[in-house]
Amino acid sequence: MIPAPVLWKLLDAGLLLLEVGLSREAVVAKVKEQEEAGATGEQITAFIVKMREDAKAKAFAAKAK
Amino acid sequence: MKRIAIVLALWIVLVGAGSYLSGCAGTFKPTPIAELKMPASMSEAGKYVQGLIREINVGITAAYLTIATDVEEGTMSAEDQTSYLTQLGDFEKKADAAQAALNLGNIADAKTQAEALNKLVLALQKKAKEHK
Repeated sequence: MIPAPVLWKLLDAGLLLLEVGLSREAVVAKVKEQEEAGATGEQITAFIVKMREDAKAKAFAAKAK
Repeated sequence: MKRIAIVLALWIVLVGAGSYLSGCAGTFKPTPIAELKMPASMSEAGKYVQGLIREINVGITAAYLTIATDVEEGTMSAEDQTSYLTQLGDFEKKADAAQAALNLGNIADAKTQAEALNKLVLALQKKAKEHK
């Protein structure tokens, strides 16, 4: 029998894994959209960096409750 | 909770980059960045390094988005937010340095830097796991 706190942590980790995984997949999906729109390899690289900078700004702007 | 979040965020960077490096996926199989269009004029070795740098940048982006969400939802403290942002900022600088080396045609340097960054992420992941 798994102790409740351990089980809770596992569930929590699972949810967070999903969250981060979805974030990553969402980023990749946006990059693919650019590729399908005809972006060059250089433009794709630059777009990834721009997305990173946008996400960074969001992370810095987030205020703890 | 916050530690788990950052461990997972780092893990995504690691698995993504690790899979790219080793050519085999881990238990989590993210959409490979390597399949995306590469600069046409780049050599195969350069494309490999570019793919690795892209993978690292996508992982960092996902980590930033996770931090933003966790902070907004109140599951990450301002103190942890600052700490993790500092760590990710360091990764960013290293990824940018590798990209700059690649842009200058120093593929071997870029490869060394990108792979070193991957090792750093691995070390941080291990450290974060120990603190859980």
